[in-house]
Amino acid sequence: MNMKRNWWKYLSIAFLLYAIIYGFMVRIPDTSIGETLRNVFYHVGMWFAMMGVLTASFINSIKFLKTGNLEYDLKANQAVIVSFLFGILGLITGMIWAQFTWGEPWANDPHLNGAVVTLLIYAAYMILRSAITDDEKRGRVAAVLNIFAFVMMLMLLGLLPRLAENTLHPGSGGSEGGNPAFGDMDAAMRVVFYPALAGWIMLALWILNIKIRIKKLEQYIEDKEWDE
Amino acid sequence: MDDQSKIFVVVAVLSVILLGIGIYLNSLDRKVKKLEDELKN
Repeated sequence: MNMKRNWWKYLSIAFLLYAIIYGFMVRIPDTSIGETLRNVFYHVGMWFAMMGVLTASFINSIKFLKTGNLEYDLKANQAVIVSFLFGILGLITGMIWAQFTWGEPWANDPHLNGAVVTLLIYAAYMILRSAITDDEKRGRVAAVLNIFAFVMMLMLLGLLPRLAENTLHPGSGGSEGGNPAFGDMDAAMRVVFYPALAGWIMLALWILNIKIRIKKLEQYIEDKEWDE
Repeated sequence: MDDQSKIFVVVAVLSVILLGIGIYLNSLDRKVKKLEDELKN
């Protein structure tokens, strides 16, 4: 296999294998949620994978608006589709975790609500796309909506939950454990956490990479059929 | 096997799942590569 172009794919699996093995071995601090704290290496990974893929989508939308090359629109679209996989897995794993630690699968909390609204906005993106038939027009409208959706995602998932105080879900000012992404995580756990995140993001990008290539092949074949 | 070390059974299971998914993705990747090479020639 071509290592120069594919090394990151194998690295993603290596990082995730490490995250699975050391995720269960690393010493964790004593908290009220016990061993379930280890979920942070996997559940949080789903959301970072989603955000990584949505960033790729955003970049491709910008490139489309600048160049008009429909390939960027294809990539932006596929990226949003892949983002749903990880967003939904993030929701499900979060609800499972919540059920066993909070006693119920959902709470009225900025993180949770922000996540759902984000997914709804991107669902609107998909619906809007399906309503426009002209390729160029669809690409332009979708790209503009994607920019809006991306900024909303950053606000709903990144900014607003942090401004809140003492939320049930970790990540705001006063809640237990603080924000893992900003160094409030136990030092030993961080050694597993960061490679885990990198692994999940790269895995998501690998899946995106394959989906884009398949879509391009389908289009290539379709175009050839038109020529005949 | 004492109670604590049984957690490594879970580690083994998850590792198998991950490697399985990795192998699957790899084979998908290869199939797509083959198609790309064929169609683009």
